[in-house]
Amino acid sequence: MKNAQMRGKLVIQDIPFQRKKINIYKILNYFFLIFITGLTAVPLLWSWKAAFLPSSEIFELNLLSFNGSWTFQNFREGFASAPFMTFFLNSTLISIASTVIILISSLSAGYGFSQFRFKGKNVLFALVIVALVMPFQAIMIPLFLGTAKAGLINTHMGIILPSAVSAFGIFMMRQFLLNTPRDLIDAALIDGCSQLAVFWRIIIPLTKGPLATLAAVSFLGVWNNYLWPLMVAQEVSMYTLPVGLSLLQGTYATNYGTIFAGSLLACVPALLVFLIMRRQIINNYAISGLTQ
Amino acid sequence: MAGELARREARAGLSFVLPVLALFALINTTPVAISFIYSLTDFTLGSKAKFVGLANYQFLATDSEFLKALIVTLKMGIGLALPGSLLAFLIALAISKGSKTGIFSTILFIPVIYPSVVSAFIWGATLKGDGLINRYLGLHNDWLNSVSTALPSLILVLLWTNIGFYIVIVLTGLRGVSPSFYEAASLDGANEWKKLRWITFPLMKPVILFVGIIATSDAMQIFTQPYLLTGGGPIESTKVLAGLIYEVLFERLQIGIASAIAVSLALISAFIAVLQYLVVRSKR
Repeated sequence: MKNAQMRGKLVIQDIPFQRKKINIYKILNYFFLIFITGLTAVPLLWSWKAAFLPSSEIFELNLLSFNGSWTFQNFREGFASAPFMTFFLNSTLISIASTVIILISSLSAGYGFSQFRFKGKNVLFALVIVALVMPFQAIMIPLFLGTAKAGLINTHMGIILPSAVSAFGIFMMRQFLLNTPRDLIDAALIDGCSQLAVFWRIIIPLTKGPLATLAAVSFLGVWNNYLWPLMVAQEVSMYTLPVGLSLLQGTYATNYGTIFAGSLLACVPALLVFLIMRRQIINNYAISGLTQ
Repeated sequence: MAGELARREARAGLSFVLPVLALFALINTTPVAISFIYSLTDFTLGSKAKFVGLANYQFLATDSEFLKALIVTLKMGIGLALPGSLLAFLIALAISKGSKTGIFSTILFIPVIYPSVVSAFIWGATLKGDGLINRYLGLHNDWLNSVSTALPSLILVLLWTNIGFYIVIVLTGLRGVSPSFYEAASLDGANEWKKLRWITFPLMKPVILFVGIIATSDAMQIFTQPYLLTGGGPIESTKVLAGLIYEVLFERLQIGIASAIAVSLALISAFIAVLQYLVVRSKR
């Protein structure tokens, strides 16, 4: 069951006990859902619209009206007078680098924990479990002072390092690989494959599904992260999109048009990842809630 | 020979685990321990640290600023957990009853994956004095700048952000209810309301409780929204623990005290995690 969910095969479906009922309930049901979903979506749609409107019209134009003076001015301003490009590149570099390291480290440790017997395994795994419930605040102060001591403040490395290892990722990969038959690996070893070759040729292809899910979830987490980059990035040249946007409010970009143009820039990659991996991400959240 | 094989297996296993765990120890396990050690000192940036035992915790126990932040954080937790779990149950139920409702859970999930900074911008523009809400309701409240509405407004923002996550958890629970319960009830002549009241709701109670606990633990670590929307104000009515830690650390440079608050926060989170574990276990 868990296995199927991890692979993202289990879809959010209607539960099977629905039957033909008086339609009025069904209709009320849909009205309720449309109302709630509408309330959720309106602020988002409005902010997307605002990115293409002159600041003077953002609040004036009726919510449902599309008769604004549409313009790309906010984006032009953001790229010309505010360093949107720098923010975007920093965010991209940091998110991709962190995601790649999370994938490799989670799979490696998850594989080790699931398929091998060695002394101290339970103690080491307990460290991972404890970290799973540890709030970031509990590590953030020594982490910051350590980063400063290592001279990594205001560097990409300093921003990437704390998100490079994911307790959840290790846990997830271990759970998945626990269900892998040992024979497969033994057969390869008997055929003369080295441990590294087994990892490369068997384990990675086998875990493509969960790896893709972990990649999506990790990318979103790092891309959206605010507190740590806020602490470590201290110059405009190192700001990520969330940090840059929040700190530019009031300096370069005093108007809402530019802010929302930058916001759109910050949410498009997140939305794309979500739309592509929608099922896997939602299922993953459903399980992660239960394994926390 | 068997001993040699076992050794080889152990060596291979450790070679996959240890490099990662070393990094893990460096950026997670060790910092937790150091946080605790700092919390027992009067470490302030720029001066020599001295061991002070539990003095920081004694100070916090009577410090009105800390206690107020603790209460605000708990209020936020309860404010998110109660409406969050009930609303998630209602919406999940509606989604599970209709057909072709996947689109609703997808849209409701978008705020969960949205950058929290961007959500803060959107809600800042929505809730400000001449913002969207006042314009459309014809009101003049300064939602985020008045003591009575600032905290509820923040809770609303968090509810909007997280509800999709809670719905998905309840939906998973609803899918786990065996259809045979409902079939048996139908044979006994139960109507939809009775089935809801006597089957769905009792079976979902642990799931709803579980969502409530998750919401509380989510609220414990909230930083971005209060930091950007209210800055902890007005008159500290929205200053949460995570915000207080940030302030004590970066404005007052009192690393010892900040660490003691952080350790307290970790203990509360650990307590909530244990509750969560007990609820999950009782469900099985």
